[in-house]
Order: sequence, then structure tokens, then C-alpha cells
Amino acid sequence: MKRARVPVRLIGTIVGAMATFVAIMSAIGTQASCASSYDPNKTTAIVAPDYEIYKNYLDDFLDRRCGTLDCHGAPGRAYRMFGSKGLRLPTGTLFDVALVSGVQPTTEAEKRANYEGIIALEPEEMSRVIARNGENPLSLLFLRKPLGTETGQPTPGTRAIGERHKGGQVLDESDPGYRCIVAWLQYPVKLLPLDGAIPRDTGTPDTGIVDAGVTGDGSVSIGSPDLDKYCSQLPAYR
Amino acid sequence: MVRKYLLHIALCVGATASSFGTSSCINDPVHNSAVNALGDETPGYPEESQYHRPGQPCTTCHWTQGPGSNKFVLAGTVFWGQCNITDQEAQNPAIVKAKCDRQPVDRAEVRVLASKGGAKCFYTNCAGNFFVREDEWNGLTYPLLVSVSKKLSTGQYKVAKMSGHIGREPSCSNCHDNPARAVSPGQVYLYEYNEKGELALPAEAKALKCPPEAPNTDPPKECEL
Repeated sequence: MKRARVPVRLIGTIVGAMATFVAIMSAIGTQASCASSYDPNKTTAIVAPDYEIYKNYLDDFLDRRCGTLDCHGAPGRAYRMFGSKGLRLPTGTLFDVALVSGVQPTTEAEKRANYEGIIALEPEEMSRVIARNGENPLSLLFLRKPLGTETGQPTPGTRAIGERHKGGQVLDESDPGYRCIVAWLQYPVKLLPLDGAIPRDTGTPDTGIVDAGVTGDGSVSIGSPDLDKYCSQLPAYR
Repeated sequence: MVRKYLLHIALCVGATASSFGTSSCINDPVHNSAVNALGDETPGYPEESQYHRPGQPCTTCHWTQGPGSNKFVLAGTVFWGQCNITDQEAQNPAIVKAKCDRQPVDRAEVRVLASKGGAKCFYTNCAGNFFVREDEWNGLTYPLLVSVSKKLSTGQYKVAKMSGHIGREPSCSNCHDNPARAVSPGQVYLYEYNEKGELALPAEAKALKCPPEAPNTDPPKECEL
């Protein structure tokens, strides 16, 4: 019986590949062992969109569109909403009746939690979008999802920009709500360093980034054509 | 030889089909757990009938995986009267049951406006239950807007409208559960106020009976919009 011969060149290649593999693995091991230890106090600064505009215009709209108990008003959602007609912000107990669904108006704490919920979906990407003045807002899952259909296939005659959304398509690009969200993301804001997950208003005035412009009576002076045009329609537009 | 192979193939196909057929009702622990959590039938209502288990989530069983024989695309129960309860009471299931178990509303009209598929109106039966089978509303597409009304013997109408919409949940009680709290607005209910401005119940809310105690009048299932 003739024994098959293995070419010397092939053996050399195999040995070389194994040596490279071992070198890479040991390099990874070294990197891992040299990685810094977990620091619970470390925070990452992000650039957050304006809270006053969100609170006064978008929260009620998003609550109506998305925040029902069977959708994003369900406690387990990545993007979960608190609001008067849906899930209420718990105050401690499992059978909490301090805030009851459908009874008290939405509280400031709930609006703040909703605002943080949007940012917390993709904090780094949100930072990037706001830092580039809202350019390419569709890089945010928060906007791609509501434009998507249940099957992930675009509605006939529309552009395929949405991402599969179990609740079906709930926004359209021509929707004033969508336009208001985009205008909100384009609105210039202060740089807001994060303390944990809560943005603090400690922006520096010399960054060239301006404030949202809250007036003395607490209302928001919008001052942007798109915000004026679309966000002011939302209280009457559901 | 060929016959032997055919027999083997037939046996394999049969076994596979059998395992797929039974897997839906046996091998899903989440579904089984949800069905088991419903517990025993509600006393006073005929078992395994359209009157059974008022206030429970119908589509836990009446859905693709069964074990209910019909798939419902929308179903629920309408009750008389709101349930007011304290935080402390809400933690005791016995108190919740005693304070919050209500009389069902017979022949309430449940009006449903679908985002696609038009609008329809359904009557509740004597147990307060209403249900829409899959083949009774082809093309029903969520989200839905829903209102409930009842014509009283005085000729007056009691109406309750959902302030929001139903996103995709076919069972009312998966969201409308007692007691009203942070995660639920309470059961679906109709009520009125007395002259003192307190919550009160109309005469229709009392002495309701369902088959077999009362004859099954079998009212029409759909009402006018």
C-alpha cells in the first residue's frame, strides 16, 4: 500500500498558522489581564436633546401613540413609557395605588423618566446625533422602529427606512409627530454631562451651543421654524 | 423492498406530524403556566360556555395554542361599578376579591373602531362577556378604539370610552385587571353618580342570572353602530 505524502510546504503553513493563532490568543489574554477594573463611579458624558421641548410637546404625543399598557406602557419594554393613561411610575410597592393608571395627570417625574428612557435606548448614538445637530436622525432605533411595519417589509409605495416593529407602523415621515421629533433632535442644546443617567444643566456658554429658551412663565420659546410648525400642532394632533 | 421503505417513511411522517401537532399544547411551559394560573372555573357561571370565567383573560386559552376551541381576536367582560381600594388592601387578594368583584353588565354594547377593517358593535351576554371570533371579523387590524355603553330601563345611556387605544392586546383583562393601580386602570366598568355625587349603581346592576338558573335568551351578538 502506498502511503500518502504530505508536502513539506503544507506542514510549514499549518505550523505557521498555529503559531500566529497562539500569538493572537496570548495577546488577547495579556490585554484582558491588563484591562482596568470596574469603576462604579465612572460616568460617560453624553450630549442630550432638549428636555423642555420634550416635556412640553413630545411627551404627551408619544404617550398617546406608544404608551398604552399593551405596548410601551408594559414594564418590561426597553423603551417603556410612564403616563396618565398607561403605566405609572412606581413609588415602591408591587400593588402601588399612589398613582393609578387612568386617574392622575402625568407627573413631572414620569416625563423625566420617559425622556431618560429615550436617551438610554442608545446613549452613544443619541450623543452623536445631537452633536451633529440632528443630522441623519434615522441612525436612531427610536425613529426607525415606529416607521417600520410588523413584517419588516415596507408598506407598498413607501421607502424602506423603518425597522421591523411588532406594533406595526405608527409614524410616517409626513406625520407632524415625526417632524417634531426630528426638529427636536436638530435643536441646538447645551452640552450636558451626565451624573449617572440624569442630565444636569451645567453646560458652558462658550461652547457656542445655546439654551432651549425657557421663558419666565415656564413655557418654551421654540424659535425654530420646524419646531414652531410641527410641534405646536401636536396638542391637537394625536 | 419498496413497500418496506414506504412503510418506514409513512411511520416517520406520521410520528413527526403527531409530535408537531401536540407540541403546541404540551411543550410550551410559558403558555401552560398561564393557562394553569387561571385556576378553577368561576362559581355560578356554566363551565366551558360563553358565560364562563368573566373578567379573566380570554385569549390565554382562546388563541392559537388553545386549549379553547375558538380563537378570539378580541374579547373581554364589562362590569358595573368602580373598585376603590387602598394601597394596603390591594396587597390582600381576599380583600381585593371581596371589594372588587362586581356584577357583570348584560347586553352592554361594545363599539370597536379598527385602524383597518371598519367598525363593529358587539353585545355582552349575561356574564358580561363579549368575544369576537377570528372568522367574525376578517381584516380586523389593531390599533383599536373602543367604547362601552348600556341603555338603562330609564332610557338613559351609560357610556364609558377608552381614553387611549388598544395597541395589540386582544384580551381586555390583560390590562384591565383589579385592583386599579400603577399597572392597571381596573376592570372595564360602567357606573353612575347619585345625587350626592358618589359612585352608584343603577337598578340593572342587581339580581342578574345566567343559564342554567335563567333561561338562555341567546341575544343577538352584534348591535348597531
